[in-house]
Amino acid sequence: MFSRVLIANRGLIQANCVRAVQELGAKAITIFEDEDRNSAGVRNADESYELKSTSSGRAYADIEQIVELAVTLGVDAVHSGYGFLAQNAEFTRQLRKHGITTMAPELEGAMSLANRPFVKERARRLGLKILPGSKKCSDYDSVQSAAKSIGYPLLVKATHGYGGKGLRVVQTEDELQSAYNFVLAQCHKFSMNSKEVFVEKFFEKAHHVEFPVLRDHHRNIIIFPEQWCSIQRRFQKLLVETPSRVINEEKRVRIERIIRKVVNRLNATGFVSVVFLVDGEDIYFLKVNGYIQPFYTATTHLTGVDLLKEQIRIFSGDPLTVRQEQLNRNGHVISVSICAEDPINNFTPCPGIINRFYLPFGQGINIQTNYFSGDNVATFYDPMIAKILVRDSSRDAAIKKMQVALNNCYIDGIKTNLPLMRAILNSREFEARELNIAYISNRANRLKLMDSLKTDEDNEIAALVAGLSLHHESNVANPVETLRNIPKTTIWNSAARWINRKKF
Amino acid sequence: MDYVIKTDKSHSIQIEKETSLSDSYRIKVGENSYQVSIIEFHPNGQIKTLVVNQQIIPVDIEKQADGSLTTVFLKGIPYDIEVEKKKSILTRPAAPIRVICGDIRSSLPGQVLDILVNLGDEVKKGQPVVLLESMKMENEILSPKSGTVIEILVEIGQNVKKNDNLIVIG
Repeated sequence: MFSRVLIANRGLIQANCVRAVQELGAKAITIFEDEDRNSAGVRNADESYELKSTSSGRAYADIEQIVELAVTLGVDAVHSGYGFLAQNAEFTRQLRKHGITTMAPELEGAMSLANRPFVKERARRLGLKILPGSKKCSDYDSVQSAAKSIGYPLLVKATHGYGGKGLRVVQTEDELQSAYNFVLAQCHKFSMNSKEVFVEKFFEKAHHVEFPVLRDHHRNIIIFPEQWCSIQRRFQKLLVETPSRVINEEKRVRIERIIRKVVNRLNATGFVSVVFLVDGEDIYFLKVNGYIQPFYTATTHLTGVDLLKEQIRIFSGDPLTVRQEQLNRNGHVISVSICAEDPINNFTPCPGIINRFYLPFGQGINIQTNYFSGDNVATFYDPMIAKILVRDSSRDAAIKKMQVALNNCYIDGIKTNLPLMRAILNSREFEARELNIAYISNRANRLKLMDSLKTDEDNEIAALVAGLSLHHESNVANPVETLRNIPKTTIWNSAARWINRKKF
Repeated sequence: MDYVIKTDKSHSIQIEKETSLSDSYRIKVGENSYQVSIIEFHPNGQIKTLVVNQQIIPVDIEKQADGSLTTVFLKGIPYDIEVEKKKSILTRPAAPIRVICGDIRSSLPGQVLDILVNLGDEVKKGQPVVLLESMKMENEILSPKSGTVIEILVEIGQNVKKNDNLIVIG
């Protein structure tokens, strides 16, 4: 096991990595930018170092500074979480040069995994159906010709994109040029390994399904129950369910066999996530992510296996602590992501100070948050402020559990997507699995979902609140008149009651 | 305490305060009756948490720059508010300002024994203008300022209360 691990990330994953490293008996060292000073991961780490701000503004992606820090501090390993430098080949290469272990699959693997078209081709040769798409395009002309043969709607994707970044949906040909420019700009902004793009068909109603996989250096593999992740905004997941229950048993067994082959062929060690799109009867291979996923917690909540700790153990040379046959696959987990964004205004980030922060709790409920009431939410990076997970014996029971949990959740001071998630969980469309990224990105659909939460009584209560607010204000402004209107006996009675009130 | 407030449709609101010290109300919205208490306020005086028919409801209220109420949030869901009618709580007009320098008031209750000046007379500050009998004693009421007697509001034998206007000096 490592003795000192540097966690090069922020927010929820930073807090979880610090915890995992400490549970494994090692020292957790981390970095932070000034506004993350109060974050749980920073507080809990054994040592925390402030990053110098850079001209690009993303100090968490400053390879030079972080590598220098890692070397100076003499750490054995660096965990980059997800996003930022998690997929950056240059970062991995420089650390490896100094003998520091990273949580990325072998260098060959990392380079390959990040290269989407390359991996797709490998998967195709091993028998997986792949999404219709192009090879790498290094200029606009090749993008154009690829688009012509693939047909609209399509996606222009950065070859080394991640986390919903570096992709753009194109509905018609005249949107193609601006989409290409946009994706190129994202490549640079988000520290991607290259500026190459590729083109892929867009099935907007398809189910998004992922298999989390662990593989150690002794070639032991565990393929976990797949996650269903179709509810997204900006290609980032808002809600995850596991098991997915959209792939039948026979298909799942066949896919798992091929996943084993793919992962072995790529020699991908550690944690990977194998992603598919399910369009009716067709299951298309999409990509393999070579870094820990934000929603790994859903799989942990279902199976009891801490995927993050296993990943760290694998890279320190230890074997997996659990075998595929021992895996608990019973029950159903739903995980919801709460973000500081306004779902009515196009998910605009809403920074600010959290006022009331009432979170649900209880049997089968797991809350992941590193914020607290009174804390300042700066949304320069990831606006996610909490994850709420529930687990129950069936999907219906889990849905009911999540409905109650979200009903008993209240956050103000900042706007969040909590009302939208409540509306989704209470909708018929969610139960019937009719919701997907196309549905959620449509503002009218979102408003319709949220409106369906309003009962007649709610409308009356809202009117009541408005009336009472006006009434109270005018009372405050006219105290003398207010008192004149109250019969004297009532005042004396109330005063007596108040004076004699019990003190608890 | 009547309002008409539109959310999904126009609702008539009637607010009756139950007790003055615990912010407790019985509010009728249309046909339905609600028992409401305010249990928390924001530092700026805005309502923060209510109890409505035994259930605790946190609320958020959004106003425009001019102070008018536009939205009520219940559990983060926005309800657009239109105030259609607002009944003022003032049940009589504010009392007119009564302090006029020239008013000479009775400082005690009693009976007017004598009026010592006539309309149009010049009086000096401190000059006795009315004689009152009160508590078996004679009391001189003095003019508070110099000026002309422009009004005599009482007659000999009239009973007056404390602070009643007797004479006006202009």
